Amino acid sequence: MSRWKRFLQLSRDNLHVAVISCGETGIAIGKGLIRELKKHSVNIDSFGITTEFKDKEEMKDFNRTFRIPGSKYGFAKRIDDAKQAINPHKEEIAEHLRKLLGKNFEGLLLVTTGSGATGLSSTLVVLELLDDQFQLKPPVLTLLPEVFENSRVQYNSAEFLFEVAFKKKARRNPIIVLDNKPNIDELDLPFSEVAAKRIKTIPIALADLLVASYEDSVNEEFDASVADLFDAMHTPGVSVFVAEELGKEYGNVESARIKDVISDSIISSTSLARTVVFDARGAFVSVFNVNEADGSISLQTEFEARQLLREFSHANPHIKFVDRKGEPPRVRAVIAGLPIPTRIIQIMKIAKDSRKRIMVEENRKTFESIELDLEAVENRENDISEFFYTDRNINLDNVGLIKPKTKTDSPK
Amino acid sequence: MTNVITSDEVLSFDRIKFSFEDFLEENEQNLPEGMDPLFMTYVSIIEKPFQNITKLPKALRQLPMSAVLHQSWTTIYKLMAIILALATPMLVLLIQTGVETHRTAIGVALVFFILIGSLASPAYLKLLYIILNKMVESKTHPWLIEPIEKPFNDRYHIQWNATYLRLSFIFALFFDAQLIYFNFFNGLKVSLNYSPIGSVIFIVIIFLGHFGITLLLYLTMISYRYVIFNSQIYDTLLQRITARVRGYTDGHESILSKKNYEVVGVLSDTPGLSIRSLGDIPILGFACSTIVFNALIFTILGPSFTEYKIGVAIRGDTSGLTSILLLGLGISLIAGWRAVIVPIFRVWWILRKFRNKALGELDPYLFDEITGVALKRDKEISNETHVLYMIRNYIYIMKSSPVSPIRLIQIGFLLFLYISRGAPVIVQLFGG
Repeated sequence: MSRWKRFLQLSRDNLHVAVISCGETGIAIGKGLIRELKKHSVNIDSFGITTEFKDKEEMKDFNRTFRIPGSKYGFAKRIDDAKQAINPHKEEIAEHLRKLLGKNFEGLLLVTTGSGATGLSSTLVVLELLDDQFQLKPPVLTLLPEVFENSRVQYNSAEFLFEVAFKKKARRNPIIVLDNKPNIDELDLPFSEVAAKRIKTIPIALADLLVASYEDSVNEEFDASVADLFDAMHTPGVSVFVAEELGKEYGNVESARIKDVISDSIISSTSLARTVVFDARGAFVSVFNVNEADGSISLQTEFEARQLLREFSHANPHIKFVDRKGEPPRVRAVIAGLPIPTRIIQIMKIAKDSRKRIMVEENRKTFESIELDLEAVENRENDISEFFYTDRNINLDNVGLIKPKTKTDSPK
Repeated sequence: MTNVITSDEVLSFDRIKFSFEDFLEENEQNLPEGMDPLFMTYVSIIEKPFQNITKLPKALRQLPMSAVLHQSWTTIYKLMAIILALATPMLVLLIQTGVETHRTAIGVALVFFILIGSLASPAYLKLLYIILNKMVESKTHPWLIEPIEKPFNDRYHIQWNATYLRLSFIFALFFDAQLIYFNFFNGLKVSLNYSPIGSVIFIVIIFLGHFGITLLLYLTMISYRYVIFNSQIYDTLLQRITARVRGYTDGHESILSKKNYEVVGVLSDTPGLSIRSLGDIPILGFACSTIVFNALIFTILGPSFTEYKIGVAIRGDTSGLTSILLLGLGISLIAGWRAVIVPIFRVWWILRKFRNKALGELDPYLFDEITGVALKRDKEISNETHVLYMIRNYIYIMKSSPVSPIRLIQIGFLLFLYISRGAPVIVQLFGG
């Protein structure tokens, strides 16, 4: 029996959601999530970990915050530096977590992070504390970098995913991935816009799913509950959110092939082959506003829902039809425990190749002898000094700069 | 996380080890080439071959066969147009040689057969790739597809074959030598009777034409190689079907088993269940190998056909051309005998037995049940009888051979026309 079955007894008013956001992107996702859930009057508590760079105004949505001391300008994507800076403050973070979660936390806990050094290193610390001190393994929402992003970002992401999900003694927290890679219809958009879109869409989709899971389904046969959603979200491995509108490129709303809508969405964010998409270990699907005027669902929709049930080879997906009058028809789903996405393997491959190449190049530079024509450098220095000192009549001593050398001073 | 072996030496790739590397190595084979950023660069080059013509050889050399064949038909046409454009001067010269030897029609017929073979090669490769890839990617019949997955991936993931390319280059030299011999040393005044600049341009065009002919030969040889590969894959599929039904036909298994239903599904007469392309693979292979073999022979020996007497057996006229076409058909039959024809016959034999045995068991039982109700011995037909009757109908409509007889007749008729009437029609048309 699911450990979440007790939530069946709870009404939405009793639901307690706690969000821990780490790093700049994690804060952005967390902020979106807090705002969306507050719109639905969900009881939400939050904790943000960031650098000293972030001002109070930016963190006002969070109940409690922790700024990593000595991190004024961040860690420039250097995860090892960030770890060194954050490790001495474990106890302070644990104290914040104790205040956030209390003695016996019962609710939905989420950790959000990006691919930067602050976010990933503090997430690792938070996950360690949550596992060791609170026996909690919450799902982690993280953003996969695009292929052309900095090699450090790729490396950070690869190390983090391996550490949390794939290594032999990993904590195996569920990882919910959001992908910065543009879909085909986003190829002409600037990268920043694609990233912003992801950060915006996912909180809305998650809030939609969570709130809908407490509502009654329009069809008794497909009546998934909040416990099923929590089960899906806590399935170990890699998961993705599906947030697709119906009735656009997918044809008529009434006869939309739900399995294709879901598989296309997963393929675009994981690059998995169509044949293995439905090898996922868990799924929760909410379909909004496809019911007919009298509240019933049509034969086509029922057929498509059954087709979706048949598709999953290892999981029994939970499906729900929700009637939200006045809102567009859409599919919101969490597909969990997917086979290792090829996008993650790609990130590891890029990380391995590009990071190593840069490390080797940086190291080689230290071994290269640089021949410097000292005389030429000094002459140029004098020229520059003369330009500033003589022509403009500025005394560089007074402004704290180096004393200019004249041509007669320079060694021949 | 990162393990760097420190010393005073310059750091190298081998001396840095990331924690995720072993995991990556284990799973790297699942990473499709399409996910490699470098790979995408090459694909974008071949997608616009005219604009990137200088980068094209490198891109084609780096990309595996599957990546090239995965491109749209338009891309394949464009690539083919470049190869044909390169080969055109030599093909024109071949016709010109025919004109000079007063055998224009033979020259035109040769070019026609070479072009047909050259166009058939990429079309065959692309079609078979689509069929097999679709089969491998579909999850509908895993028991059937499983044994061909590895051979398919191995054979279609290979890159540009250097040996075939060298061989093609040598054969193309042989083609050039014949043209030069018939044009310049055989007492005929043809090509270089122009101004010096014209002659230089002419030599450059011939030089490019040589590479065009090399590529045409390469394509025909590769597609012939793939006919053999695909036939082997097809043989595996048929063996799988044969082995699947032996438990029922030769053993003591019941017809009412999942194993047997799966075979009935694959061979049923409905596209929702069956793999229709099972019938297309041998037919396309047979047609392609005949046409391609002819093109290969005509490309290598082409210029010699403009001479009246080539050897003791073959003459450079219509009958000579037809005899080569017949030879192509014969070679295809011999090549396909063990890999395709015998397995088709074997599978047809055993499936006929399977169907007859199944209907022989089910029909009397069902007839008795149904007539029992009709004669009011029983009150109603049971649910099981309904189900059995539906299974019986699926078995009744299943094909006992994966090759469609209509398609076989169509292709056979076209091949017959091509071989028997192709050369005479062209020769008559051009007044040979």
